[in-house]
Amino acid sequence: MAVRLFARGSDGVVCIADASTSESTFQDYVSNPYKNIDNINFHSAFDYMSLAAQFTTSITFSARAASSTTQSVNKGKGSVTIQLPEQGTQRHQLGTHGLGYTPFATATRGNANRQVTPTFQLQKNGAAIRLVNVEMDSNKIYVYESWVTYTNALAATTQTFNCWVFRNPE
Amino acid sequence: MAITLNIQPTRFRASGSKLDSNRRYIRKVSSSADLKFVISRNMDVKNGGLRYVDPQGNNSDDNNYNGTFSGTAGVGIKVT
Repeated sequence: MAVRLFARGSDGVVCIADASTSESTFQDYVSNPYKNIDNINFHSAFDYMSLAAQFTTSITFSARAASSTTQSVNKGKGSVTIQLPEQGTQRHQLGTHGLGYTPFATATRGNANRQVTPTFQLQKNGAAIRLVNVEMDSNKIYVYESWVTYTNALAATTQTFNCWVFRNPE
Repeated sequence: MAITLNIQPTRFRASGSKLDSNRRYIRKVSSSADLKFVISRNMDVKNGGLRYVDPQGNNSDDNNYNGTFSGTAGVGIKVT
């Protein structure tokens, strides 16, 4: 599709849209971008996200042993020992973006269909589970691991993350 | 006042660099996405079990889950 670039010198408005659009409709895009957002490729009234950093990082998540925590509870005249779950967290660094503010970032594991969605279930074995979240601060991107084990352990696993960091819309 | 258009042999900028050919932007695509934006709830707990809906919209249930939650596939994004 051929597009048309229009720049209005009087107020600095810039609009890019389908070149086959009629003149009157195109001018409506220029003057009323919000109601025409589906038809506009670019308009100076909008803010746009752009890619600030992209990197690929492999992280090895440690093996987590089955829980060894027990508790003795009274049962009739005697007592029984029950096993209690154990849990923990660990923050792993994926990379540095250096933007100076906390940006939006996300990660996949190889392709888009293996996106690390919020509180992603990375691993499960019986009642043992390992969840991960992509986290960011003003300088770096991390993957935050939360795990729980009970009667089953979690084996160590190495995962490769493709990270995408975006500037705030501007 | 920001420069409206700045066109050089190897670089194009518009609206005070709001659009800059040196930068990479995102656009929505229906196939060949680089990543996906999750646009709605993607987990449900029922009967002591968990259903996770992956970015393609497929369900992943543990043995106890007996609910009927249906999530939504993520939106495909291409970085160009």
